[in-house]
Amino acid sequence: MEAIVEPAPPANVEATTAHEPSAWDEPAPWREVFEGVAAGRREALARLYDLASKRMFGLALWRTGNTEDAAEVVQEAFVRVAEQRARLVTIRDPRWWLLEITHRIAIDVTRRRRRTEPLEDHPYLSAPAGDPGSPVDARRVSALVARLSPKQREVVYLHHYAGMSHSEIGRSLGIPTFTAASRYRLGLATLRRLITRTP
Amino acid sequence: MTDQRQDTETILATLEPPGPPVALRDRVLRRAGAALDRPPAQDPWVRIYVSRPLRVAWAATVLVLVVANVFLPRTNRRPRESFIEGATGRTPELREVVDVPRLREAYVSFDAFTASAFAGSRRKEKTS
Repeated sequence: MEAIVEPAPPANVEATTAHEPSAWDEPAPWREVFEGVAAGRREALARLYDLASKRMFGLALWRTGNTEDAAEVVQEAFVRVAEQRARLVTIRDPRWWLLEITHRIAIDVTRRRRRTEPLEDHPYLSAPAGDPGSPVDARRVSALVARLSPKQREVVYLHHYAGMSHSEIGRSLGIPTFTAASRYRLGLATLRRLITRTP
Repeated sequence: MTDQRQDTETILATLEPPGPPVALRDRVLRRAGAALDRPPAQDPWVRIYVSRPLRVAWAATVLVLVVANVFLPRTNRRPRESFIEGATGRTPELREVVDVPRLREAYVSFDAFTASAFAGSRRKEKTS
């Protein structure tokens, strides 16, 4: 497995960066939690939810485009984890496996609902607590993120907020590394163009 | 370009995706907990391995495929001619129309030779 390379936070946003080290980034608890779930312990399931739900929900939200569908995706993913608990101990990297099943279920839910437009207005980003200027920025950037394709949004999310490398994204989504890198680059380029053009 | 990309990444870094709704935790844990109480789903290969009828069915399928692959004749295919005959019946005129003439290697080499000769004669005409 490749080492997870954390993107260096820009110097001027250290206090508010969204990618602060969290329990998600630490390799230690995952094996233990997965073994607990495999043994059928409910408290291990609750701990897994606390560790992983934020990233899984974020990915589902960026893929499906609305909170209701994202919540359904997370719920279905955890049910699947519980059903497939016999194989949890054999999974090499629990974090990427969780994101992989979230991605698959998000695609299924999107197809099932047949929605092309998000239900809400731009739910993709929110301002960190205690930053009075950011809500406006969050709404504006969310509106621009909404204009990316779901595939680009998903790769931008995984690289930027889940800290995955392009090769890890490729493995999780079942696409070549080059395609993952290309989607990320195109997504950022589109976002940059939209940011500079819109007032 | 790189600076602009960093700017975009900086803007994204100052914001964060919203977390899951608070009520979702109980709902998920209730549903997943119910799934934990059920017997775990087995991998299809494990299911085949542990079940005698499935093992027999799998072995029989493999055997049938191997036997068919070895013993079934490979040359018993309808030739292309028979399709044209079936479609045109016994009308030779119709058959002439439907049956597209094949490219014949002898003609190809002949055409290539004449084409190059023709090109050579035109080059001579131009230079003169």
